[in-house]
Amino acid sequence: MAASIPIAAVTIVRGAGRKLRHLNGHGVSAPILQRYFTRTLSTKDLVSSDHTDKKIQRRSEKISAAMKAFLKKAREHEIKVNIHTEEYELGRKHLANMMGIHPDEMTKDHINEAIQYLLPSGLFDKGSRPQFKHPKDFLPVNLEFPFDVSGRPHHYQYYTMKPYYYQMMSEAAWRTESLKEEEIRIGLTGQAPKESMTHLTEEFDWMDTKTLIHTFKSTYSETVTEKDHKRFVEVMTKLSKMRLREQDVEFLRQYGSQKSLETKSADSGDDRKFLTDETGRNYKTVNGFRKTAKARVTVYGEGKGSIEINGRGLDYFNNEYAREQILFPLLLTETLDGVDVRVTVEGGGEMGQSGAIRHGLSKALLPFVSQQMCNKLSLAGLLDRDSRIKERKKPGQKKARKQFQW
Amino acid sequence: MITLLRFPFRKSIGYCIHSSLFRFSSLTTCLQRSSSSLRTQITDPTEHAAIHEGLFYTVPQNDVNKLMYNNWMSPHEKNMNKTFQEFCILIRRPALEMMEILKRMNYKYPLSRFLLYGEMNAGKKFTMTHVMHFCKNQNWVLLTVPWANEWNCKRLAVSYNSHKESLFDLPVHSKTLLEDFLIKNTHLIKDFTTSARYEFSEQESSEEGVPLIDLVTFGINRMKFANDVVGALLKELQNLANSDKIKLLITIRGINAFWRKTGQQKEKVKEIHAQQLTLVNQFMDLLQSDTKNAVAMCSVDSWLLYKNDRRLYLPTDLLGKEGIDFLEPFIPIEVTKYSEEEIQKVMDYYEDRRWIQQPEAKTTTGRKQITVLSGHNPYQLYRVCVPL
Repeated sequence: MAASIPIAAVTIVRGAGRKLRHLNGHGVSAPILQRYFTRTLSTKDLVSSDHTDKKIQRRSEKISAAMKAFLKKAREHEIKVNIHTEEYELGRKHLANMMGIHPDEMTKDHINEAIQYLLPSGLFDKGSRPQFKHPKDFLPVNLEFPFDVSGRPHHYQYYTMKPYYYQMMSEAAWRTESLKEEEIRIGLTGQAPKESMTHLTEEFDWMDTKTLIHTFKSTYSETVTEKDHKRFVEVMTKLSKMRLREQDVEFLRQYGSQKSLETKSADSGDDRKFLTDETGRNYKTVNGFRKTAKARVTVYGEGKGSIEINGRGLDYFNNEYAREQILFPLLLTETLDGVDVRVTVEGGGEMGQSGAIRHGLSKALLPFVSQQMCNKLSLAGLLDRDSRIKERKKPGQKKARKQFQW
Repeated sequence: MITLLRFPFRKSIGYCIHSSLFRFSSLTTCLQRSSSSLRTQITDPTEHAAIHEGLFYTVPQNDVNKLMYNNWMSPHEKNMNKTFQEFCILIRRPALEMMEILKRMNYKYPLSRFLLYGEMNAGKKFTMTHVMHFCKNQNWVLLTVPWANEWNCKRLAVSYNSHKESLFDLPVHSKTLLEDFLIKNTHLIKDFTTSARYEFSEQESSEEGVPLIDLVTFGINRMKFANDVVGALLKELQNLANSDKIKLLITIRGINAFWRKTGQQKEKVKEIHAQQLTLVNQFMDLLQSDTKNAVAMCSVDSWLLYKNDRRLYLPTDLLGKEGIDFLEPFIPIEVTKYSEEEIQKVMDYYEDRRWIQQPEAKTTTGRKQITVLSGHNPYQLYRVCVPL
């Protein structure tokens, strides 16, 4: 039995080798393949110890070849770095001499000043102007051996060419999975969660493409693309919308900031004050302007969503776009059915009047809405008074831009 | 009754149909929108009561073709009929009010005038169709003027009146009126004959005892005398109504056209006022007459006015002093825009007819946006749902 297996294995292997040859086209030499296959299949190897030693020797030879290549590259890199640093140091000393500063006291600013003085350039792109940098700023970072003696890489995702990027992504994915399981467990059994879990109220600002690319290039020397950044944002937003533990929040904070958007004039106290009606209902009246239209908008809280314009409903406007303009702030703030609006509007045309109402509405909605929403409104441009007016007619032309026929 | 068989009204089947349509809406909203709460099986408006308010009823296709297709329905409504494969009317309060009054009225008193008023596109025309269908089922004689402003605007032939010099005839318009009358009422006026002799000119005249249908066909064939035939017809109808033989329903859409300038011209007379048209005078005489068993249903429309004035919709603004003095006393019926529930019902109907396709439009938030966008206006609701 023991002898028959190797023979059978050899016959199988020969057939496989032939097939492989056909597949490759160039013709892998069958004896080499046979040797490889027989090495793995034969039972003699398992029995005899000489063969195993040889086997390890061969494997280590093979691996050490890779190791050798790596070492060679590392050495070359080191030499390169050393050369560059030497040059840099020399140049620095010369510069110091020229500028009349002691080389030890020379800082980066001094160097930049000197280079700008000595080699002025009018190029717009600052990256393409002459610069004088330490080699560690522009040469790629050299990592340590990414794999150990037996040839097994340290990082479990080494064979994806971006191990740290994929590590980050898979960690986020695993966290979502574990949170999902937690939610399922809570739903099924009805128990309280093991750790304190909260939904985050404010949204995250994730890293830009540029910052992401830069961080991965500088620390891990991996090239990350825009597609990768897109996926990154998707994965992180998905995680951030679940009920998170503290550790998850900390993990997320590495890659995005949670502070609310910068505030503008919407933060002032006056804008967010109510006035109370006789009946006890909160209201706010505000003027809105657009071109020559003036709108006086009063917004009443605790309403059912009725809109009144000059005594008529929203079909005061025949144009659908004009109506949508008025709806827009209500939709953004999600107060369609919580607020009553009453408007008197004068002047202008249809679109000007609707723009004025929109302006006034968004200003009047501020006290009924959270701070973050105020910032959103200001970012959306609803609180700005549109300063575009009709352009003046010029002499020598028919209209503002139209010229006479020549 | 084909329209009824196509849609079984058992709740389970309706639910199955609708669960496929309302995939994206929650269960509770799905159950609310089952087909049994949308429609009634009752096609006879005589049986409609306040219970049925807010439901749709289908008008049988025969009635549609006979009553409405030729002159009454606008191309927009004809399109809806085609796409929806049926003609459904929403049962609303103004129509129900009017039908209640008609059911209980004492027809021995002289002519009573109803005036429908409301904002533009609020649904006055559909209430009129509803009442017309109701009267048709009760075998009334219908005399309809689908759009009174046609006499003012549509420039077809104008001729001088042979009997009175100051008045102008509109032969083509009166011919269409007579044709319309025939299509609607042949089965009712088969047996009636004229009661007097009418002279149209020196040679042409119609004798006493001539069947009414002959009189009307004479008017259709000889357009020259069509306007006189209309006058004769109106007198005959008055006589018949006074002698308790028929019940008469007069519908005039846009009655405030009677007191405006027309765009009609005739040779040297460039500005003809509506009061100078014979048709207008004939109808005004009819409206002020003391006929029993007759009801006049008029509507005031702001579409006639110039663009800047179209915000007005109250009768006092639209009719002017002359019109109000003429029409008083009348029974005013206001046709309001859609209420919240009615809008939901209408949107359910559109979903049922697969007019609304976008899934976002079927959700509650989507519907809210649509209601606000349309401003509760029936026609605007239709236009908002068109691209959806």
